[in-house]
Amino acid sequence: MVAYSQPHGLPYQTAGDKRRDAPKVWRQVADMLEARLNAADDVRRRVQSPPMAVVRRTAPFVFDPFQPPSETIDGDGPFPFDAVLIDTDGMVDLSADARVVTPRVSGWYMATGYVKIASPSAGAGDSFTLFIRGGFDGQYIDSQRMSQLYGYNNVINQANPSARSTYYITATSMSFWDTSLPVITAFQLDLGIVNTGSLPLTITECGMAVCWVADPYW
Amino acid sequence: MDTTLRQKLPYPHEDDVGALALYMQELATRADARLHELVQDIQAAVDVPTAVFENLSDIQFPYTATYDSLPVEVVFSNVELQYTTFAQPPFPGLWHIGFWVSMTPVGTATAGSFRRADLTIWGVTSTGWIQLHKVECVEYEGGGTEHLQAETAFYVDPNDPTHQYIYIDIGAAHGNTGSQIQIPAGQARLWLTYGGAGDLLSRR
Repeated sequence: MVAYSQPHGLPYQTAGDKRRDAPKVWRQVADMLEARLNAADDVRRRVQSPPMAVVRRTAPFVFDPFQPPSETIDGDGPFPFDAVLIDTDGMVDLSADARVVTPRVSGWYMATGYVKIASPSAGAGDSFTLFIRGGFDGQYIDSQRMSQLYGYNNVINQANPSARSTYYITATSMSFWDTSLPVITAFQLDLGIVNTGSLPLTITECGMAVCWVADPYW
Repeated sequence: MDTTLRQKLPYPHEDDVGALALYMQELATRADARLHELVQDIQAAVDVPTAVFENLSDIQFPYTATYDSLPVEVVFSNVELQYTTFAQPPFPGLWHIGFWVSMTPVGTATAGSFRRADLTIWGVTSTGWIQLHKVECVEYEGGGTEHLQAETAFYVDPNDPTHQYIYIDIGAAHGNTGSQIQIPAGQARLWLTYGGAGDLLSRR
């Protein structure tokens, strides 16, 4: 009489079972092992290459949040990207919207961004804040607040009084994404400015990486 | 004997019971090899490739000097590195890279003077080194030790010729005219940790 292993329930023959029935039982074992190994392969693929995307823009553009958008560059942000360096999960479509990275899998994502700013004219006292917007923070998921844009990641870089040719600003944070919620905004990169005397700014390069790190619930 | 579609696990036909022992050996050998491969790969992915570098000695310098490359050495790595005295991503893929630097005046602290630390990723071309990526942190004197840090993500592209040889520097500068600045041993730290290969489509 065929018995079954625990916990996976793989069948095996026991004493008294007919030898001629062995192929049938064997086939069941092979098929069940196949299914479990396939599932393990999926786990391996997931940990080896999680959903992640890296986008970048190397074409300089003028940024001024107080001016209306130009024809080609929305000076009000978020920044448009012009290259996809990697995208393991179809998270980026520059032709549809060059400003966003949209995860397709729920979870917590490590998001990092950077921007290079050509030396602003105002110099000392400038203050820039780089934002990565998008996703939802766990504590704000409710019907009242779902419609709100929630932005975080905040790094301030005061201008060095000594001469600088380029300012480098970066921001990093863990962000929550839930595919079951309506998408208000996907991941975007934007800049806040305190000293308007330094405007407009020339952004010489910017980029953003969004990488899945954990399932959404535990 | 036939095999399953993807894992190629052997099983006998219904009228083929003469060589069961041999088939069983085939099945055990194949399953063992696949399980070994899976466990190895998953262990490697869970124990995320990571390397940490620090300055092993105190560093002290005046405001007139700028360190483009602080001397650091590896203090931890769970992957094989080509060099131990400067940081390199050991293989392609997405890397999270960051630094932390602590700067203290050895004497007079100049009010309002700046402290700056940066991280630069260099690549190579036929004409020399090029700056591939850079992040920095700037702070101003606040009465004592200033801590500076920044982190970023960088994709090492196996198909980009400028990425064939990469190294990472952390630099430091300050405007403390009243005295030199010291970075004590172990307080200039550079780290890099692996995020994934980036070349496989991941769907669940």
